[in-house]
Amino acid sequence: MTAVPGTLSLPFGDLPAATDPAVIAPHDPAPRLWLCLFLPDLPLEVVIRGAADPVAILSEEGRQRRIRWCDPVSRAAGVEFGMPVNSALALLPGLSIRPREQQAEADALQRLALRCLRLTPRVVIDGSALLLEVAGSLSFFGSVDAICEEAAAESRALGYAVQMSVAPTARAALWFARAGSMTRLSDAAHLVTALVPLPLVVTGWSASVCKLLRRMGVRRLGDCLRLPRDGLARRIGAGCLADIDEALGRRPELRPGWSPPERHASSIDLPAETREAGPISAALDVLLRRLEERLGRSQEGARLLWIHLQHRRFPATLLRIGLLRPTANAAHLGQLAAIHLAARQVPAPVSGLLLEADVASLPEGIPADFFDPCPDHAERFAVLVERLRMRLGLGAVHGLAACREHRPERAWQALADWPAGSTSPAERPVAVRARPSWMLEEPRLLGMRGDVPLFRGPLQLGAGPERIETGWWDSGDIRRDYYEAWNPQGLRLWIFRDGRTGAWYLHGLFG
Amino acid sequence: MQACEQIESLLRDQRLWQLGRLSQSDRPRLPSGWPALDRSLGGGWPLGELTELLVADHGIGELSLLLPALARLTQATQVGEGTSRWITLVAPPHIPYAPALVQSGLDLSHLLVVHARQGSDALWAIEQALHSRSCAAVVGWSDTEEETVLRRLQLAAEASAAWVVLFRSAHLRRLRSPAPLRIGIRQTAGGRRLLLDILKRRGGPPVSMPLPC
Repeated sequence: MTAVPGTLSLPFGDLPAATDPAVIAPHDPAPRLWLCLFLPDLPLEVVIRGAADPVAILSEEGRQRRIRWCDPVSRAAGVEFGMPVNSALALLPGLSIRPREQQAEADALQRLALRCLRLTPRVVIDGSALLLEVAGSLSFFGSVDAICEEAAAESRALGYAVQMSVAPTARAALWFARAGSMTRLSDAAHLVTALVPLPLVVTGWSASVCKLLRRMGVRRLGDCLRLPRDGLARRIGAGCLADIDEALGRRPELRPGWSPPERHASSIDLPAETREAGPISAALDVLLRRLEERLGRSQEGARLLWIHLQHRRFPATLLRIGLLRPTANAAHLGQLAAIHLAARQVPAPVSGLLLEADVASLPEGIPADFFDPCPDHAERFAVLVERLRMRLGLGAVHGLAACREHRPERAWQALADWPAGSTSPAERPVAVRARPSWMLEEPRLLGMRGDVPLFRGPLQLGAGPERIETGWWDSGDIRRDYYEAWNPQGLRLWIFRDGRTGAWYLHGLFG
Repeated sequence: MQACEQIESLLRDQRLWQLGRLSQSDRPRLPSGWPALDRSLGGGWPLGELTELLVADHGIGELSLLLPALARLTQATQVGEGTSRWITLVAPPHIPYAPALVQSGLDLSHLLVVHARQGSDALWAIEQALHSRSCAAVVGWSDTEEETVLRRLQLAAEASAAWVVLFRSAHLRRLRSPAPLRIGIRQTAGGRRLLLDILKRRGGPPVSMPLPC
């Protein structure tokens, strides 16, 4: 089955590359180089975490339930690819047989893709493989081997086995990686020679197409290339032919690049249901580290967090944490979450956690924890305000503003949305006379001895009166004569006589 | 001759306090706005340590004692670039009245008010504000009698370099306190003037002084 390169150029070499001339790119000026990371055992690896028994994964194709992936223990026992489930169970009665977990696989790939963003900005996810366009990163990392080494390290860090290859076209790189050949090919001229010995399985074409080709005596890609083009297209369809063209670089490849989602979500299952803070916060810590990793790589911060504490039989308990400024600091987020967790009664044992985060770009261009978790006072102060609000409540922590208003109780305002409006200059209040630095929540009615108002003794009136008569246009109609007054203990008070009732009230203290 | 030099160098050591001389501590001081008080305190309010003010009642002018220094801290022209200007008031006994604060020259955009439901919350908030190392001044009201709590605040103050003021009731003046500066505030007999009893200060004996008010 050794292919002879010289005989190959006949049908494919002479024919136009693609049927539609519009999609033929003029010769691509910048040569591409694709690094493919194929994760052959990913379905097994995402399931096997924490499982004690030998595990095998079912195949989805065909009617009969067959084994598709199996771990080393079951393989040693004789279980193998394509074996019916019953035979496998006969060999290894303790074998745990699971369906594929597509969502977990997709999550795992996204996490690896995120890590690979540091190697190149252009990452594509294709099935169980990642494709990285690394031509632009070559000069930074020095060589193809160096990039491969980095990519392997990222995959190792997550604990996934990987098959890698490098080729000038993405599809060829994918095929080489699936074949498990450690191809490092950067010259497009050698593509055909390298593709010829690959088995048909690597193409991922449907079972019926593969069966048809096998019946025609086609076992390797080289056999395929030797067949007349239009005949082949009629039998296996234009799609498969287009795949070959893409692999050979005769047809432009349109692959949407992957970018990290704006809403980050990751979940974790607890080993056992629990109400205890220890395991819950440990699991939360794992989720926050993932979030930090994701934010750090895209140089973004979380603005809003949702922590779902999942219960078996109850709807999830939801904790919502809003942040004044986006942050990527897991330690800070962890502290906030701990305060939230401590304040919340959980109705039932927790079986798992889901962390969602709204992602926004960080205010400055540099990562927030470049030198210091919170580089400037404003940032640290914002963290302080958040922490105080967590424990004391939103209304208990506020800024102050003075308003242009004659009525004393409306001449100030608590700013709950602080520090959102902190940059606007303070309004000058209209009062010209001295105002007390303490104001009572409500004016307090004073007792009388004859005509003299009392506050722990008779009051001696000072400066005044200052008549404040306003507010007839809304419900807060007032008519008051304000005085400064001294009591026998030396307290300086701000009192008024209500113009309509004649009663005296204490309204403030000159602290 | 050598002995003399040794003694001289010892005398220059700031840790050594000579009787009758106010120590010129190398801790930075914040001018209080009251020249007489500045002279008694060795330059102004001490930063990075706990200052305890004991008042019999709210409303005798205790806040006006602090306002000149607080106003100075919030004004951008008075402090250097990159210095914190945030002021946090923790558990004030009444509403701090914004128009009066503006009249005193305070920039309200750098003022934070924190209300606490219970005493322990107030102390926690003060400690958090100090630990965050983001405040120029923290002014709190608490009547805690626990010395260990005050010691924690003093330690947090030392790490923060902020101006830390704690108002307590005058009846607590007999209790021991780790605060390096303790001042009792009361009215003079005739009223209308403040009388400061400096009960404890670094490098000086206790002293009483009236303050024009």
